[in-house]
Amino acid sequence: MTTIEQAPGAGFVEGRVEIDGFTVRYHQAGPPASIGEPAGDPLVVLHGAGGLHFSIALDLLARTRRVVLVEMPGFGEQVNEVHRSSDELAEAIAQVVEAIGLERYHLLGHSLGGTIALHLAFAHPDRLASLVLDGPAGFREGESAPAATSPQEVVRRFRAQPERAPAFSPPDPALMARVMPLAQRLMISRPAFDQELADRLPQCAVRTLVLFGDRDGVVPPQNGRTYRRLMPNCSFQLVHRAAHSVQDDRPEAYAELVSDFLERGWMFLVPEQSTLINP
Amino acid sequence: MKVEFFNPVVYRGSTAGVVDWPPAARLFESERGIESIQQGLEQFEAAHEAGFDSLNLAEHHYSVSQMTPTPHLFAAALGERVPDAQIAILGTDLPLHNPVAVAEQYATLDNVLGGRLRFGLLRGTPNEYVTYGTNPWESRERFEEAVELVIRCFTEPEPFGWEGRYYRYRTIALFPAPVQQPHPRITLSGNSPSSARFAGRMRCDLGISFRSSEAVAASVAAYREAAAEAGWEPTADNILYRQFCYVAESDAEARRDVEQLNWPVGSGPFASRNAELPAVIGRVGAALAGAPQGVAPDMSKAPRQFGAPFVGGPDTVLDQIRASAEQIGLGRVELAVTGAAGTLSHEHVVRSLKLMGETLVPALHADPVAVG
Repeated sequence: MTTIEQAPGAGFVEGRVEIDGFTVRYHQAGPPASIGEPAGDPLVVLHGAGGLHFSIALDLLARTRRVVLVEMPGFGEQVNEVHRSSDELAEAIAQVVEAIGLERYHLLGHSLGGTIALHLAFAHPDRLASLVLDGPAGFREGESAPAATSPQEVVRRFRAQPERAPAFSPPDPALMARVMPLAQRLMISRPAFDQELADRLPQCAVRTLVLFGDRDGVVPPQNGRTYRRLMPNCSFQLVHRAAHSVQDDRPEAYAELVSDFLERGWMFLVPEQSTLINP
Repeated sequence: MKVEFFNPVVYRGSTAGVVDWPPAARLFESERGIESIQQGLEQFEAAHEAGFDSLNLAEHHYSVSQMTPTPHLFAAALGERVPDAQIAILGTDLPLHNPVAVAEQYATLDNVLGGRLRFGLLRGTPNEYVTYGTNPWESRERFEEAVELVIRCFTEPEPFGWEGRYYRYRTIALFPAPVQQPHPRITLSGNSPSSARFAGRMRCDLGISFRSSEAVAASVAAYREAAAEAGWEPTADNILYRQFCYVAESDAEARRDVEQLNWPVGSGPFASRNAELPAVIGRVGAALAGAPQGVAPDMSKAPRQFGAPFVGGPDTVLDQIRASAEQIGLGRVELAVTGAAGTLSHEHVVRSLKLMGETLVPALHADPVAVG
């Protein structure tokens, strides 16, 4: 795969739906009509605590499949004082996706969005073709304290290859202030090893890919092991030379890994590319 | 007839009964790992004392039933422990590896063992393609080129390059070369007639494992035919058959042991809590058998071609092996005693080997070898 020259997300078109008193924005893109109908079920993407984030990785995924980024309630203009738990927010997202008109879809969640995606999978396993958890924040053992970090240290936590475009930009302080009480309720107040969450994992049979950057400085990658250990239908993949923003550090690798999993399910364990050099 | 002992070197830890493939490394108990290796070596010693003609290992990955993902390492240690034994690795999952490195391993090992080595090259079982992520649809073509390259590594006296269809090396220079010149005897697996035909064409030994007599007969016929086309005639000594074997004092005792212990398969080495994984292994198996890419085979229609294990008192098993030998025309029978993890204990294995040494092995050695 090759990278795209234009700014990430340029090909996405905005839409809105009303749920629980929120106007929820979503952005979608897919292969050009000239290529024909998109292949396979659409991919719904949930962002992390830093808010909606476009990436080269998602642009690449949208070349072959309809990709829908949902801005979770509370991450837009409106403050979210409605949803008290990840289960409640996940239910709202399920309604958003239903309102967009998708019955069956792949669901990908990054960081906090990974936790929400997981809760949606608990409640609606039948709607999901598969689940991708990208640096999910459901377990955060070994996380470093957010306070007293230099700007360089913040970059290091998110990016292992900061020289690769797009450059890292810290989350908007105004958004973070709005979001913080929600993040506190859903994530920060939960223990680093969330036993209640762990107890629910063995019952979740949704086909799941858990991926972490091997240099993730926000959610340490060893937390991926917990999903692999407890979920019956789970693959745990480490993406080399990537930190928390795997989509930005390794966009081509990210898109290839995720699309291989979405398209081929567990057959993704076996490559189908020919290694023939010359006939 | 030659009688060989195959030992998977079962892991004896408490995870032996865990039904989940692949197993988690966190479950490995190193104390029991050391013990398992020692018991494996003791079983080989017992087989050697019992008169077995060769002590054999194989490569299998991510398995509690096999402690030998890198069998050449184990073979080097075994060679020190049993200095006058013939040792065979049957074999290497060749498409998973760099063929030049495989040739180097075996050349080195033959030097370590002072020329006591035989080795096998095979495509491997379907699960092995999942372990390192190997394309199963091109497995046969890659395998056949890799076999030719390995042999070429042993037989080209000057540094050379290989511009293959699947492999490209611009500099190959095998140093050390093997002790046995031009190379140790090579066994190729022939569980299907097409594989067997390739073995005949390559003038290699034929190894068949666990198949029914009917399936084996088809392979042997294909092997002999291809050998004849290549201008040579294999003898029975070129044909090896691997089968599970358990001998106790009496038929009744042997039957009781294997039933109680669910020998040889145990709980199934590839059982997994992931309900989707068996279908993947099944599709890889179909690919290895020649099913085209993109076709999901109906595995319920796949033929079950496994032969019955040799089980019973000494006389019964002797009859079973002789019947197979006659039907197949084999000169080497390779007995897998241990079974999967959690089945026969170390003591069971050693006792059975001792009993075979007192009865079966001398009787089979005395048998006239069938002439091909």
